[in-house]
Amino acid sequence: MIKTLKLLLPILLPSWQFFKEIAPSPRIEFRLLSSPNENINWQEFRPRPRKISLLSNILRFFYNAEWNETMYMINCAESLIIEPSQHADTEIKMRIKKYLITSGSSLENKFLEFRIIFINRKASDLETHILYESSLEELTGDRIDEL
Amino acid sequence: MNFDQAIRLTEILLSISLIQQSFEHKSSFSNEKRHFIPRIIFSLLLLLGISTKWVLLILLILGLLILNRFQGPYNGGCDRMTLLILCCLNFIHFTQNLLLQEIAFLYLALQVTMSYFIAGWVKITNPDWRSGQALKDIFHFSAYPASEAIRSLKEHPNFLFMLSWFTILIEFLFPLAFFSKVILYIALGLVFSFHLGNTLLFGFNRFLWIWLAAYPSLIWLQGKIQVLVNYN
Repeated sequence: MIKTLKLLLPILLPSWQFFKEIAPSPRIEFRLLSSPNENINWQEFRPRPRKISLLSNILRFFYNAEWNETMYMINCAESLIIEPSQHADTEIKMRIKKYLITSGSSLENKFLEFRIIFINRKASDLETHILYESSLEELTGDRIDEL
Repeated sequence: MNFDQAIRLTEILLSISLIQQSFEHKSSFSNEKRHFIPRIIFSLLLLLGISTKWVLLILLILGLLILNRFQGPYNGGCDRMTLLILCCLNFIHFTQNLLLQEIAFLYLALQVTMSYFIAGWVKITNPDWRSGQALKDIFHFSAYPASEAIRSLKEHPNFLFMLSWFTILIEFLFPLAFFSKVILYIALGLVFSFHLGNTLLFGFNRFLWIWLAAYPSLIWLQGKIQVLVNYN
């Protein structure tokens, strides 16, 4: 109850400081390993499309579930750096699992880990820093209902 | 627009926004769907005006459960505005005193105004926003551009400079819209076009619908201000 009230207070007294500054921006990367010692490249989670068609753009006004979920994961990634919590780690991991299952990957007996890289501008160049690496999780099934 | 009409229009637009938001969770995890499916059902009741007072209370409780589920807002400012509107409407329906009801609706109108004004204030006081650099950074490396093609806008500094100042001015000057009904409608058209642009470029579709739901409070407040000015 107190926790909910604590979450409600910034809603009744919002700050509305949208884009006050352009902070370093997180990206989520993951890898699905066959064994804990396997060394394969990291993949960007749900990379954005090259282009969006006019029809998709119109539809996105009404239904943009994947994108909004990605934005939620970006919020979780930011909170993992500011105030690390098991909740944010779990939220990111279970959504990566769902993404993998819906894209046809089998998770059975695999190992999943993710990391968060932050991109920022230094003078006119971009630099990246790895600021978080999750623990390696052994996956024992590919059911997503239980998540 | 009188008070009752503005309240009813807010309820209708809020219900549409809630259905839109909730429908996006149709393929999510079961522990999310158990909040969002009832929210669609109660939003439909709100749209139809059935047992509005109790439906609003249930929608507020569901909103708090969702807030708890995600340990904060799922969609940042959009969820904040949704809950703010729900809190104000609940207060209005559960108090009998017209003055208190109007104060609650006034609070909503002021918060919507502040949502633009403060966002404009933090930009106008930031040199990176004034030069167009902030917007260039958003397109260059932030997580928000919805496609790689949109990122190429970073190559157009003059366009970004103008877009920065368009954003700053419509947000910062928004409170001046209350001077007259015509100015308010023009200002609402401009900020709505700003939300349309945000949806096209950054995929912020939920903001468009929920901010629209708060506009009746602004139209009502402008009418009240007009009456006060004419009276004096």
